[in-house]
Amino acid sequence: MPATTRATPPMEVLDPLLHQPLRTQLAAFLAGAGEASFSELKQNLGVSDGNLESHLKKLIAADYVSLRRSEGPGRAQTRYTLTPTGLDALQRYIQALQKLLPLGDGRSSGALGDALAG
Amino acid sequence: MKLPTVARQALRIVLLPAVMLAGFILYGQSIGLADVLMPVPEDRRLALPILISQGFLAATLSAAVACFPLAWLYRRAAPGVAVLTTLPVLYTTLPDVLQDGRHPASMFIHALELASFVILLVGATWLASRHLTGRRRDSHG
Repeated sequence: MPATTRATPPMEVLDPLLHQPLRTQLAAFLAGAGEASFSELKQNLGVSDGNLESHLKKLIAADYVSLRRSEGPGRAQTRYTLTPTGLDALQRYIQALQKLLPLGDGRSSGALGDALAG
Repeated sequence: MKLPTVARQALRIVLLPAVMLAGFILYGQSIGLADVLMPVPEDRRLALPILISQGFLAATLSAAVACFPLAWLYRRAAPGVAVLTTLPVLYTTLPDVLQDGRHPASMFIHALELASFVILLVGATWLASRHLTGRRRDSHG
């Protein structure tokens, strides 16, 4: 008699736009900070202008990040914010990672699981 | 002082990695400058066309700055060197662009940006090298 094989659900596909170290950092930073200027992002992420510009453009094109110009006494500053679409995508990305490496549900075992579970 | 032909060829080959690195840096700087010259507006409907235009502007700036130095240094081989100069940019950005299948707008904008960078740089360098080699031929005969 053939052994019954339990159907495993397909693996969650990670969002390719967020599955890039700098863009993950960008989205996570904006999710925590609420909004940030270009120089704040550059300072906190430690990247070059061109690199940050390029990745921000990708996130803006996908409607993950929006911008607004703040008028002040000095030069107008651009502030970047994570849009609801971006926040939702980041949450789904984190959930997908959690599904790939189940923590705290009894299935994770071994040194890695213990270490990550704290 | 005029260098012998072999020494000139050797110098061109030795300079090739530096030229490729310069092209890579130049493209990064052009992207930054394009954003300063043509900032992305707050309105999302306008943001996409501006992002497309920014890519085209960055490619135009890179080509305008690089075409004559490349043509002057490499003469008839300059278009080939221009192709080589685009390789570091393509190598670092193309895999990322091709991965963005779930985000057609992002993929389209960056594919267009890369295509315009390659086409404009190689095309402008070809025209500049034709211009320079033609002028040299005229002055010789």
